[in-house]
Amino acid sequence: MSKKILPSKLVKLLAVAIVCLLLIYFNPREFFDPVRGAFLKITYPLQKTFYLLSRTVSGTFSFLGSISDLKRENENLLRENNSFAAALTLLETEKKENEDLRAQLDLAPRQKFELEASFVIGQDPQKLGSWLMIDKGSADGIAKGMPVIVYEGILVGKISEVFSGSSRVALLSDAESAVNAFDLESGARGVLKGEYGLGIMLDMVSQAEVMNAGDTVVTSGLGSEMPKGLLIGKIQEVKMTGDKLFQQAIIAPRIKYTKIETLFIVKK
Amino acid sequence: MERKILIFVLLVFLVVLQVSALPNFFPENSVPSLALIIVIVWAAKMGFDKSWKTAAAAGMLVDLFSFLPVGTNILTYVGAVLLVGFLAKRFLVTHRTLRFFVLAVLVLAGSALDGFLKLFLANVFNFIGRPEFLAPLSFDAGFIFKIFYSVVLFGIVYWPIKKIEKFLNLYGSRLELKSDVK
Repeated sequence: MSKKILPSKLVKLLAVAIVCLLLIYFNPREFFDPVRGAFLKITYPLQKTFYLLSRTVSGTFSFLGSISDLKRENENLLRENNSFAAALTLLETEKKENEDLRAQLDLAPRQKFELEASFVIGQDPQKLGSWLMIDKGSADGIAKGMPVIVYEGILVGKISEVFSGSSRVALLSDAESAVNAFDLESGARGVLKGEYGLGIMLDMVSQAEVMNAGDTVVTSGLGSEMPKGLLIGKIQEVKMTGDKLFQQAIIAPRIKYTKIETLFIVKK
Repeated sequence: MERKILIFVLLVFLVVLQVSALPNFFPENSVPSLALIIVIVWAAKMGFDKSWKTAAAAGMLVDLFSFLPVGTNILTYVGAVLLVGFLAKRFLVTHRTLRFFVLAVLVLAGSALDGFLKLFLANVFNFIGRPEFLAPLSFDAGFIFKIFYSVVLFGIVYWPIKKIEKFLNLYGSRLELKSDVK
């Protein structure tokens, strides 16, 4: 009587494991990207419908859940409104000062960009790398590396992959993301890196530079397609690297990336 | 053949739903996998041999739509299906009246194994210097919540799954076998 050395299930599992591990290790993107592109193209209308519909439904639910808080929030808002009215006068003078500073630092005026508006149609379900899918692709003149901003010139990431009718935006918090940036107040320069979807860090800042919590960080425009002067966020904490060679700053982004619905791609 | 095409189209539909809609309803880092749930349910009812190919197809679709290296979810889904098939043989037959609860436990076990395998893979590939493929994961509250939400989502989709099974006549072949024995 013959007896199988290995059960067939184990053989199947081993075969799948070996093939999958080789696929993950070598990651033949050039082979799978056209397949991925074809699937994304076919399912694009479905993806967009699902995303917008789910956004509306979840928005309605969160609205219903917050009704009880509305009265209290309204009172708070009225109180805040009064204080904002007082602060507005002060801001008017600071606006003028800000315009002068931007001119002195040669920062790109926001109106100068050629922008392409787009809607978010998907986002990283695993929240590992942090990316967004948008409804504009190569057919709309979108190319890899183009910066992506929100309405007020706040940088959120750049185009990492382009398909015919959609594109993937690698957010600043993506591990692959690297953008040259500087501290607007002190001029300290460094490289902005993503922390696997968990946050952003201004890295490789020389020890001689000065950085303070609360300082504004903007793009420096060095060595990439990224224009100078796009707002990134504020410094939350400054620390030294493990080897004590450089400084690092944890950046608090100006917006919550998961809440973004509309984006603008800087084409030129 | 026609049924296989229908199953594949259904998987594409579920994966698109998973990628586009579910992140809007669940907290960051805890979004459950709809495709995995349906694959686990089918593995529990049909066994590993009849469901591993569906699991591999679902895994591949999730990898494609999630921009992960192809192979990641194929491996974890097939692993989860093997475990569920093994457990279902022992528990689902003996507890037929508690089918829903047994399936919920199997979804929990399968989702947990899927999570642990991903955790293992991510850390191994990070350790050998290929972090650009898979970001390092950690065993945190999000990990636990993802398993919990998988069970919740199973509760929501349990009846629709039954309808789909009826529509696809998934277990028709088993009935034919019985009539052959006669």
